[in-house]
This record gives sequence, structure tokens and C-alpha cells, in this order.
Amino acid sequence: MTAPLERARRAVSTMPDHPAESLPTAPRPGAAARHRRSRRAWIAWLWAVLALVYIPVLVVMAFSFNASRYGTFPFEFTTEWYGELSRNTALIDATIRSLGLSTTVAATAALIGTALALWMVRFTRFGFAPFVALLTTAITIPWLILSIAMLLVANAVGLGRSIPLLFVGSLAVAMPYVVLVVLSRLQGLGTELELAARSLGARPVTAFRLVTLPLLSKAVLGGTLLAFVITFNNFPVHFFLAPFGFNTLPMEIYTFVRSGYDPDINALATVLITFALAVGLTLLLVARRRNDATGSAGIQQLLVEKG
Amino acid sequence: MAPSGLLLGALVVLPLLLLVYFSLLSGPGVDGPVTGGEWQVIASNPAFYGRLLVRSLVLGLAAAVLTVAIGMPTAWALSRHTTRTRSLFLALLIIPHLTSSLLLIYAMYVLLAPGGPLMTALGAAGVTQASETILFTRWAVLLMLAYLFLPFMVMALYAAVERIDTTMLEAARSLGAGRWQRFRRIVFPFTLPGIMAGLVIVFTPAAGSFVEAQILGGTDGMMFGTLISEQISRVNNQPRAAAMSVILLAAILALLTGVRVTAQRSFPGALRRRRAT
Repeated sequence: MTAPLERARRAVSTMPDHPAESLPTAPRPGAAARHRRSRRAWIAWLWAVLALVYIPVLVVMAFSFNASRYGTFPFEFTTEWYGELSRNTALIDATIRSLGLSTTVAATAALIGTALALWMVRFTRFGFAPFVALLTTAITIPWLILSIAMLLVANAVGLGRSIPLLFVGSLAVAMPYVVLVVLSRLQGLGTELELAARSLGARPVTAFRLVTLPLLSKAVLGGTLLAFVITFNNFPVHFFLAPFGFNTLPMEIYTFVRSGYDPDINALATVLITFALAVGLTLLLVARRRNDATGSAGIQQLLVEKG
Repeated sequence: MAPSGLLLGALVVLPLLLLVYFSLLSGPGVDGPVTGGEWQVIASNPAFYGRLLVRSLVLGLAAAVLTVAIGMPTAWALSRHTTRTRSLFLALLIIPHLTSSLLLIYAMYVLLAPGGPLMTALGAAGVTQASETILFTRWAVLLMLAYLFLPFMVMALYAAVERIDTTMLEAARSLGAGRWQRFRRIVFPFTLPGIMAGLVIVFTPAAGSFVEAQILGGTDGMMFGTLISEQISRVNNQPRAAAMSVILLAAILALLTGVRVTAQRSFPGALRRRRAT
């Protein structure tokens, strides 16, 4: 194996000798214009990628307003499918079921996951590297294999497909994400602030409640959202662990899709994706406002310290 | 709080270990005697199982390579050429993927359907006939997998690209390194940890996927995962599903290790863990 230094030396030695005027100290005329043009090309690339990602989504959205039951042309405008979607009790029940499952799993994952992250940082003598390794392993195992493993264990102990099994399986998949998010925040936080509170006379519980918990809240919230989204979307776990007759939304979509084109699903996809876009972009706006506020506060603080 | 650590071990590690034991039983349930019969069945038909396994691994790897090819310039453009719009781009990229992957698979199905919008457009342009589509082939599965995992690859690459020190690129330029040389000697080695992380994030679930192939793949695009899922949902042969899961997981881990070792050999030092100070 070659040492990195040796490689670097070779890299430099293969570069052509260059006259001094190509050093970037004195930008040549036209460099700014060229830079602007290249930036425009990069931005165009970003828009092109977004366009590719949105083509299938937009096609389905457009078809949700097409009168043909089989998705054929010519295009005739209708809102009939939204009416049909509102009468499709199977899809509506499945949506309610999925929301209930995801909410309870996300809340439980947030509680246990935060506790686990705190325990790993504070109370493990031998460091938490093995736990992080365990968590990342848990995340990288394909959901198909993990859910089949859990189903077979449940079958062996006589539990079988059931709602408790579905809950526990979803929790096992979602919780590592909460732990990893909270853990990375805790590592960045350090213990100085809590120690400062202790030195000012706060008892351990008070110091934790008044200092650490508020600082953690954003990470816990982020982890909870992640757990919710993952549970809502986790088709393999639902497919193998849910009891028969307890269809979640992804399972319901799966049964519809297997029979081919379905205008109800077009309408549902339009509603769900529009909703996700609205929620996501609102969250983004709120976060940006708040960041601007804290950013300016930070600058003020810096000015005070310097002055 | 200690029990929560045990809980995770019990929920994830234990079932995976028991999977090996279940695979040795004789079916259809998991209460039969230990015979190892399912392993013999699989070993006696290596052409069939081997072909599907290789197809799953190749499709997973191809999807990962495709997402790196599209994700690399995207991550670069995001980190170097956007400021205020950056989080907007990332949000727009990932939001459709947060709803339900089944909806996106369905959307791809609608897009590719024979006589559907894409085929009609291509037919009108004279490229192909409206009835000739890649739907129900392995190409549709590859397209779907790359589509599903692109945002996650972009995230992984973005985190790595952003950490590249600009002064290093300027130093290389001032020493006369051209575009390609700067990419090969600086950008690529520094992004390698991100590429490896992205590989794990994309290749592992892609090689272990089954619904995509079930809906879009037809018989031509059938994957190893599809066969595993049918052992449970149709055939009800649980030991064989366990044995096939063990094979798939072992193959995925072996391939990831192989890629990691190769990367370490070709770019010594690039994957060394840097301690945060």
C-alpha cells in the first residue's frame, strides 16, 4: 500500500509546471462572467433533477382530473374521482388506521429513544460505540428481512400476526432513528451547561429539566417526525406483521395497485402529496424565520462580547 | 434506562440470530424438527436461486451507481452554487418520498403503462411505438429503485461534499491541476466516505426490495426478495423464507465488505475515520 504522502507527492509531480500568471491572485478579464455562466448551468441541472423527480407525480395528479376510468386520452376534465375517493371507506379507514399506528409508534419511540440516548451518553462506562454500531446495523438491515425474522419469532412463540406485533415491529424499525438524532445533538451539547446549572445550586433533576431538556427539544421533535414518517411508510413491516383484515394505507394502496390503474388512487396520491408539500414547506418557512431570528441574536451577542 | 438497550437488542438482534435456526427446520411452520431440508432444496437448484440472487445484487448495485451519477453533480451544485434556495431544493426533492413509496411505484406504473403518457409522447416523437414499454421488465425495476432512493443518496453525498475545504481546491488549481485532476485527486477521495454511506443507504434496501419488482417487474424483473415474500404470503414455507433471507443478507454484507475493501485499497487513507475535535 502506498502512503498518502507518497500519493500526494506523485500527484504534484504529474501536474504540469505552470507559469506564475495562472495563479488565481489576479483574476483574468472574463472570469467573473464565466463563473456566472457556470453557476447558471449548475442551477439549471438542479431544476432538471427536480423536474425528473416530479414527472411521475405530476402525471398522476393530472390523471386524477381525467374523466377516463382507464387513464386513456383524450383528456376530459372532471372532479368525479375526488367524490369517489371521499366515499371509498376502505381507503379512509386505512388512512385513519395508519395515522393512529404512526402516532402511537412515534410517541413511544420518542420516549424510549430519548431515554436510551441519554443513558448511552451519561451512564455507560465503556463508551457507546458498540451501541451506535448496533443502531446503524438495525437501520441498514432490509425491512423485508427484519420483518420476516420478527414474524417467524412471533409464530414460534404463538403470538402470530397481531396488532401488538405490528406495533413492536414498527417500533423496532423507527426507534433507532430517534436515538441517533438525539444522540448526535447530545454529543454536540456537552455537559458544561448542565454542570453550570448544578454549580449554581440546581439539583440534578432541575438542571436536566431547565437546561438540557429545552436544548434537546428540537432534536427530539425531529426524531419523532422521522419516526412518524418511517412508520407511516413502512410497507414491509405492515405487510408481514399486521393481522389479516387490519389494512394500513400502504397495504390498501398495494391491493388497489395490483389490480392496475385506479382513478381513486390518483386522487389519493394528489391529496397526500399536496398535503405533504404544504406541511413540509410550511415547516421549512417557520424554521427559516426562526433561524434568521437566532442568527441575528447570535450576531448581536458577538458584537456585545467584542465591544 | 438500561432495559431500553436490552429491548433494542431483543427486537432486532435476537430475531436475526433465530432466523438461522428457523431456516434449519422442516416446514411449513416454525415448529418442525431440525433437518436442514430447505438448504438442500435451495442447493439442489443453484441455477434458479443463483440467477435471482445475482439479479437482486446487480439491480441494487446499478441503482446505487445511477444515484451516485445523478446525485454527485446535484450535491455539488447544492453545496457550491446555492445559498438561500438550498433547503428549498432539498425539501422539494425529498417530500414526495415521505408520503408512501407505494404511491410513487403506482405513479411510475401510470407513467410507463403501454399507451400511457410517456409511451404516447415517445410514439408521437417517432422514437418507439406506443405499445413498446419497459414496464414489466427489469429496466422498470432499476428505474424505480433509482427513483426511490435518489434523495437519500443526495443527502449522503451533500454532507460529504460540503465538508471539502475550498482552499484545497484553490491550492490544487494554483499548482496547475485541471478540472478532471482536481475532481480525481481531491473531490472524489474526500467524497468517498459519503459515497460509501450512500451505498449502504441505497444498495442495501434496493437489493432487499420486493414490492417494486412485484408491481413493475413482471417475470423478467423478478427479484430474490419477491421470491422470499411469496414464501410467506403465498406458499407458506417459513423455513425456506428464513433460509433465503439468511442468504440474501449474507450476500449483501459480503458485497458491501468487498466494495469497502476495494475502495480502501484504491484510495488509501480516504476512508480513515477522522475524530471530531
